[in-house]
Amino acid sequence: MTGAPEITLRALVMCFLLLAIPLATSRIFQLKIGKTIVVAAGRMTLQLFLAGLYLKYLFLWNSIFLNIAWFFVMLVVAMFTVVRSSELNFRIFALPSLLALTVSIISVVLYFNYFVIRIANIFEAKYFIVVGGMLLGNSLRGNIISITNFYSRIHQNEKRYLYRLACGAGLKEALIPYVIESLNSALRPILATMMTIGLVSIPGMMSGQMLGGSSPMEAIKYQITIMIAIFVSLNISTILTIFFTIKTSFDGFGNLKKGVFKTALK
Amino acid sequence: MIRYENISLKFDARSILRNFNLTIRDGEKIIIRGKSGRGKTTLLNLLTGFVQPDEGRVLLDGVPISPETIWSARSRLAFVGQSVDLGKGKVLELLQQIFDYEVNRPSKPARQRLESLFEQFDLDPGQLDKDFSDLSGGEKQRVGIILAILLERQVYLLDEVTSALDKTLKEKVIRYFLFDCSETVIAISHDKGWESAGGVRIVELGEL
Repeated sequence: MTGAPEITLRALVMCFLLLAIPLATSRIFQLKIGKTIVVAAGRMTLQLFLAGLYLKYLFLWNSIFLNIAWFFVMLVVAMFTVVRSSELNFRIFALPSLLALTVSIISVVLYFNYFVIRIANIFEAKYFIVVGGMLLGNSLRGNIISITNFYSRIHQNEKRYLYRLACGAGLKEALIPYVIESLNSALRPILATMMTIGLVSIPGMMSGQMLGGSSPMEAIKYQITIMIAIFVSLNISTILTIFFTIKTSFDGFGNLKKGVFKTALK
Repeated sequence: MIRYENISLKFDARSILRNFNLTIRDGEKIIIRGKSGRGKTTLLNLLTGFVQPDEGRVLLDGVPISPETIWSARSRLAFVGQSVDLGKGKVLELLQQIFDYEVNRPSKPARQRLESLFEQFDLDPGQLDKDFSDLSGGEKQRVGIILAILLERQVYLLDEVTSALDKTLKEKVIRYFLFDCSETVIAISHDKGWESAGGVRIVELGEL
């Protein structure tokens, strides 16, 4: 197998020309997203060029310390994304969310590098940063869904929750139905993806590998392992995020603290 | 014994209770009266730990309600509210969930006992297999009352528990809590039926 043909500057420009279609659609149907399309495409291009640049040097230097430090920066940005995208109070949720993401993603990526890819240096930039980034990126949405679902459901059903406490439930016993519901909401979409992968879509990683010259069989093996790693890291990170945030979100009587939400929810 | 000692409490800068004191002996039947916003439900919530006083303390059997003691305190209290919300699912399953809690396991009732209590409060035992959400307000209220009885607690906290019941059922519920049971009862009700029964102490919460 040979690698994919190089994408020249001219080829990139040709690709950007395709955006004329959504821009025209926006104008014809007055969607008012023309400016957003341009900004989003611009940001994507800039961010990916920057990613390409830092990855180039991370791969080149391949320092364990630098790789870990860089990954921690990625985790902090991810934590900001999770907490900011939810309705939850940053001060209460920042540290527990960061801890949950760090423990879950790093443990899965190190297991993956050691037992699945079986590389000598499990912190090697090419795998630690790239695989870790993939797990992190795919865990974010699930984390946002689960943590938002968990706290908003308790808030919406406060009477029911307090009634359970009044009936003698311990904190964990009263929270279990909400944990189950929020984990389901986070995990079901990825399970649905696993059900149809390869049938109705060729995943990005697999396509990228094949375009890069790998055989389809090699590409699917990587895709299978990475899907399992994503599912497991999402599973661990959602459980840990809920578990760690419970400690800071409920008072000693089991009541949901008043400052849990950014603003008062209806 | 329950003691409210010098309780003061504000909600949004509005005083609800100021230096409130009350002692309730074991087995006593207390009816709390007062206009809306005078802190009737707050008195029950102070016991269950859902509200904390700004000043003062609440003691149950001589032990102050605190984060350390609230969990064991709740295992001695049975609360029934105006609207009972057990969640989604069949009535029997929802009741069983409550008895799966560690503190409630010893009092897990057999179906026969459940059915007999359903009959006692004019509920068809067939309702046990119905969805809780399909029950009427009055039926839900009675399921809440039955659950409180089954929990076999020392203190019943009843917040307008007869509001959705007809006259005959009201009398039945009032008779049960005021005469048939020996436990302490603290009931909030505007229903004259509670007050007219003998042997009750009425606590009036006035304007501050």
